[in-house]
Amino acid sequence: MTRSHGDLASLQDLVMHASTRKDALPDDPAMVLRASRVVAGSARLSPVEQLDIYREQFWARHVHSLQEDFAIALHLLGERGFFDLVAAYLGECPPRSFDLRCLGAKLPEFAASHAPWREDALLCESMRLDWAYMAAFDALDVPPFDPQSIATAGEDEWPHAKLVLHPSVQRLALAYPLLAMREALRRGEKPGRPERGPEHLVVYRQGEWLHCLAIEAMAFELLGALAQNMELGAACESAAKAHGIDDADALGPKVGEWFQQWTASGWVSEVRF
Amino acid sequence: MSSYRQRHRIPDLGVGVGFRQPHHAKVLGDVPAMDWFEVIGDNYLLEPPIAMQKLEKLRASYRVVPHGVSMSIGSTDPLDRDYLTRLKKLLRRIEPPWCSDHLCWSGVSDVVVNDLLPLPYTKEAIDHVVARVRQVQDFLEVPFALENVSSYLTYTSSAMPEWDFLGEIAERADCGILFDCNNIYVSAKNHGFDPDAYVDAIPVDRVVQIHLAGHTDKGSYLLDTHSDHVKDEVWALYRRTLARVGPTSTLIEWDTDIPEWDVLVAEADKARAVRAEVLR
Repeated sequence: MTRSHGDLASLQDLVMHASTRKDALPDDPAMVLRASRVVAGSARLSPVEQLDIYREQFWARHVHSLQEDFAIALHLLGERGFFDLVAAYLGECPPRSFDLRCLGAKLPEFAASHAPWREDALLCESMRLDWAYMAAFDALDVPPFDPQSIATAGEDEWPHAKLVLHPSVQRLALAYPLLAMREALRRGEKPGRPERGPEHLVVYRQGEWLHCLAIEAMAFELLGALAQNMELGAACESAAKAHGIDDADALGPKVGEWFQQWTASGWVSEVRF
Repeated sequence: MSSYRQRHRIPDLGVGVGFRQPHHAKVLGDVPAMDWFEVIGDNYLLEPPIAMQKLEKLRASYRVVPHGVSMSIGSTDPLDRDYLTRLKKLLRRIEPPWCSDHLCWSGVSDVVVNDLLPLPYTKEAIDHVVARVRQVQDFLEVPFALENVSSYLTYTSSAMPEWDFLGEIAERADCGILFDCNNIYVSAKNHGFDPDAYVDAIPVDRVVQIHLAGHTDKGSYLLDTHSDHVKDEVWALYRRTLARVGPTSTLIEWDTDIPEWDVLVAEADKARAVRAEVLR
């Protein structure tokens, strides 16, 4: 189907164009003239001032929504700087979904690829972390892990086991310790920019609650290998090699400990032999 | 000929409130007395698992009616088939007696402004919306009601008052009306018309639901914010509306600066008392 034509379509094109502009409409003489042709005005407001209410609401609504989704970026950039980022983003990626929760899906990628924001690694990483929470919250649900499913597994079967992670599990290898910064913001504090320092995080959902845990680098590697559908034995070898350990069997006790933690946290939904 | 409500067996559910996040634990945990709940249907169309679980729990204890904000029935873009298909799936899941959205448009050229933009009150717009409402009703197979929106501008091309525009669309499309008393008051103040004239002109047999809400005075205009108690002037319009339409499902909307549950319940009780007084 194509769009219908006529006065209604051209009027909607004008109002749409006006209500998504960044700058105040009354400051633009051409827009003042165009508004006066289609908008009636009132005793208290001129036509362009009435039209400008919708423009203000457009920005208020979308900026507020993204402020809620990207709290660390808002803190780092301040309100004005955050608005500039959102204005640039919506100029390139205008809202196309009826669900506002989708609005920020491409914002981390946009910031990471556009100046001046791409120069700020902390900012870009913070947006990845904040969006991981959104992704974890909306991820599909699956039945919880059943311990009975591994009760009869023999020792020789474990190296060939494949672990299926819960869809909500989001893994992030970061160059800054952002978890403490995020938690400080949630407590209402105003943390400064942290020094560089690696952090390996897992954001996940249990029931309706979101959690984030910092884990060891090697556990993070192993989790990543398992997420790529590698068998447990091969995944252990891969993780050990990445950390300069020749004998993957030496990881055995640690892997057992990690497995306990992962299943208790709901990260593993199934073990397939 | 029987009324729209009679033909579609649309019940009077009493007085309900919106199902909003700050009250989820209270409502689902304690199951407090409330006649019915309205949910924003759009929030469930992508089937986010936590929201869907809560919706199922809500349905187990209360009547639930979905209300939409994104159908964009007046847009000159084609109807969004994906949106409608998802909405139909939701309706089959919760089996409401009706569903609703706004008489407005929310974007063109595949861009969504997430707002309720007013239409010009013209013959062209009536023909356009009537055809689309008929398609929507045929597709959804659930009675559908259009809500009058708050507006902050009117168009030079408008050729009739808003109540004639809404009334003609409802009659020709054979749909219901969700009559928002606060929106009428806000628009009346913004555009200088008599809100009583609106209430007196609406085809009463098509009103399936009434909305009540608070608004904010921005100095040079009123803004529909759903952020406060219902104002006295809006209660007066509610009385006038009830006297015309009789017992009709009523919903308190409070979506910003959401108060404690008890405050919301008190507002619903007030609406119940007004109903009892007007309808006795």
